[in-house]
Amino acid sequence: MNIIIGSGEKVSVIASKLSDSLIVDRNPESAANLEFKGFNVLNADASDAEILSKFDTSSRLILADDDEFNLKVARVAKTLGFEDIVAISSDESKCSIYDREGVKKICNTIDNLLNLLLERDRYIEIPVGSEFEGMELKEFDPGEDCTVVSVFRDGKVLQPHPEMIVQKGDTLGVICGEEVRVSKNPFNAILILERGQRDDEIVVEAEMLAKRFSASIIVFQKKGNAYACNLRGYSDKIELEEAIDILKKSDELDLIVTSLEEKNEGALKNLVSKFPTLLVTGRTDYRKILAIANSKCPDKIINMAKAFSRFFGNVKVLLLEKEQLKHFSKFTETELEVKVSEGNPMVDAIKEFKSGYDLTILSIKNDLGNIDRDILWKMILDKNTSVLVVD
Amino acid sequence: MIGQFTTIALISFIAFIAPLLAERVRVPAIVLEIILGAIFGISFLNLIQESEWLSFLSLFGLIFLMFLSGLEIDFDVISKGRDVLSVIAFFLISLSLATFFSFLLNLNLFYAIILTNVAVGVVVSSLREMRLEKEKFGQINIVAAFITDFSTMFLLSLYFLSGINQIIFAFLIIAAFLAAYRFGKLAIWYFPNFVSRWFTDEPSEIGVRGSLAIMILFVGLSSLLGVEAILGAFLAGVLLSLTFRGGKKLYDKLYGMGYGFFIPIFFIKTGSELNLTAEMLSLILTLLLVSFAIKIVPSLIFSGEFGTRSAVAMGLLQSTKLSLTIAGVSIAVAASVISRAEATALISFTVISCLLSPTLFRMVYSTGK
Repeated sequence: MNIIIGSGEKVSVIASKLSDSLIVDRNPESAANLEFKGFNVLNADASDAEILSKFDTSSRLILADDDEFNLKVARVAKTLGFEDIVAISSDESKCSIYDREGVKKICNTIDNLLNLLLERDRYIEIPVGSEFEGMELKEFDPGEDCTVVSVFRDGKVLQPHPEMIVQKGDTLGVICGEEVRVSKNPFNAILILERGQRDDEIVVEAEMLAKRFSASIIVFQKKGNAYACNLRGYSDKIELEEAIDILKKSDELDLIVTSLEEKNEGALKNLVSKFPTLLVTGRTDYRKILAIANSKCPDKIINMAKAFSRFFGNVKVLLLEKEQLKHFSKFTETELEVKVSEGNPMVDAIKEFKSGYDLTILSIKNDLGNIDRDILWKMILDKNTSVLVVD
Repeated sequence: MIGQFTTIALISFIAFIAPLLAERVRVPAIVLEIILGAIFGISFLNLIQESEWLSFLSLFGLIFLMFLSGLEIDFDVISKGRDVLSVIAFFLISLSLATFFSFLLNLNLFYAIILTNVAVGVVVSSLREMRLEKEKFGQINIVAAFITDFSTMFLLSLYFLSGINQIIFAFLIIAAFLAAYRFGKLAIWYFPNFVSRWFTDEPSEIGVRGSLAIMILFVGLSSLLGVEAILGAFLAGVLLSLTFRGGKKLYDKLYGMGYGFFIPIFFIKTGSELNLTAEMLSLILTLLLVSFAIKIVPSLIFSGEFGTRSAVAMGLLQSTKLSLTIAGVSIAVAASVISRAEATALISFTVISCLLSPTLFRMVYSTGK
């Protein structure tokens, strides 16, 4: 059982993602509010040993109140014998204090915390019975957010590939999670961001994507200084920043489709930090796709590459360093053409980029490889290739 | 003619065994090249005869050394480096102190530049040896070494300019450099297929030929304008480093040519010209003490972050001198800025500094931990 200690929106986000959870809220107003939203809530002071002692000590305590109160609860919980205690704190300097109190893990954002908590249940093993026998691995569907990462056969671990034929007695190692879902079907909702330039192209390309990925479309249009949109409940004029924040919080969007006429580092970074952003050229199909792995954590780029290869085929991934190959140990159901730069990574990237791709995927971080910032922007603003920019 | 070849054969042999011996006694190969040069040179065995061939090869070695020094400057480290401002402050304070001491000791301003210089290679390898290169302390040391190195090399090139004409000409070279940089970037963007051939294994070695052509073009431009060749060579190296931002295979080939043949000849010949006498000892000692002082004092700006002991250790490490100091000295002798005796003292000081400073750094840093 997960016992979440804290108040307000923060705990509701955590509780909504975890099954079997109880919120212990010391603030009566917030507790009533959470209960009204349908959560399991106890209005009590968790630092009171009497309250905590009612729970089984094998439960997991998630401390999401302020630091002072969290530490107070941690002390009490430790004396009662709780072992699985995690805390969320925005103040990194408090880490050592939490450490001393025996709190296992401090996660500074809710996302981090959830990743940590959900991680534990992500790996499952499925024994293959006669019903799957003779099936190719690519026909085997473990669900939208799951993928096969290993095949155990006769005491050996095999690297799965799409054409591998499953035999009776095999055990499939399956990993599930948000990341996997992104690589399988990344877009449920697409935002069209019209800025008065190349709007037709934006609509054409966004609609093509929406059709392929079966995604819904939200439209933003520039009206004077503000945007108008068909976002639920926000039909009035709304600032872009605000709208993006709302969408980010409610987890209702996966991709922004827009255009960019000139270099504007701040604006693009802002969008990309929230959602992957596609800068269009009005394509109606992507016949050739290039992904340039110019990031120290290229998982986002690679996930996008996998997703696009599933829906469009023919994706080439250009790795700027040989070490990046390790990120490919787990891909199974899609086939990407992977190329490692042999000479100068920047020159190789430009060479590939210029050889006629319809879509290029790259990272705005650009913290790996030697691609010059000016060159990166030349690629982003290039009018011959649509560019999907990720964080 | 035969005599010239025997000298060159002897030097090539010394160049071959120097690094092998250096591994055994755990000192940089350059140090042994200079010491062996001195043993075979005029002071002892007198087997290395001055000749046109040797002078040319040695000069080419010096040009190659400056070119590769420019090429080795990693601008990514500087631009992405943390605390660049405090590192620049560190450099400026040490340069001012060096200038002050030079005046105090009645020495040429050239000494101030030489005393400020640092051996990037020794700094990086010492940090790597102690597994510090990825830590903040190590990173700051590396950025400091790069910035100091670049700035002192640039100042050194400017120092040898004399008269308004040369200064204007130097700016012409810098303008040519900027134009070439701009052109290089455009070439990469518009002709990636051609440029990528520079970095692959082609039998015709287009990359090596192109890089050497650029180096010699800049050197030629320098001598045409009457500016020291080192400025041209150094700028050519910086140009390639800035434009291509890496390209391991090509660089390795150029290192092979430079460090494998031409550059050792330069160091051995420099060693062979050493003529050490007892009177130089006081100058050598003074230089050593000053070189420590001018680096340890400014390092103290980092004492708040790393503690005083580590800051002092940083000062010791940053006082290390090596190849570029020797290059500077040999140019200064040629330009009659310093006498042969001073040159001998400076080179001896450099050799001692490169052996002593990293050792002191290790001692001071480790005892604190």
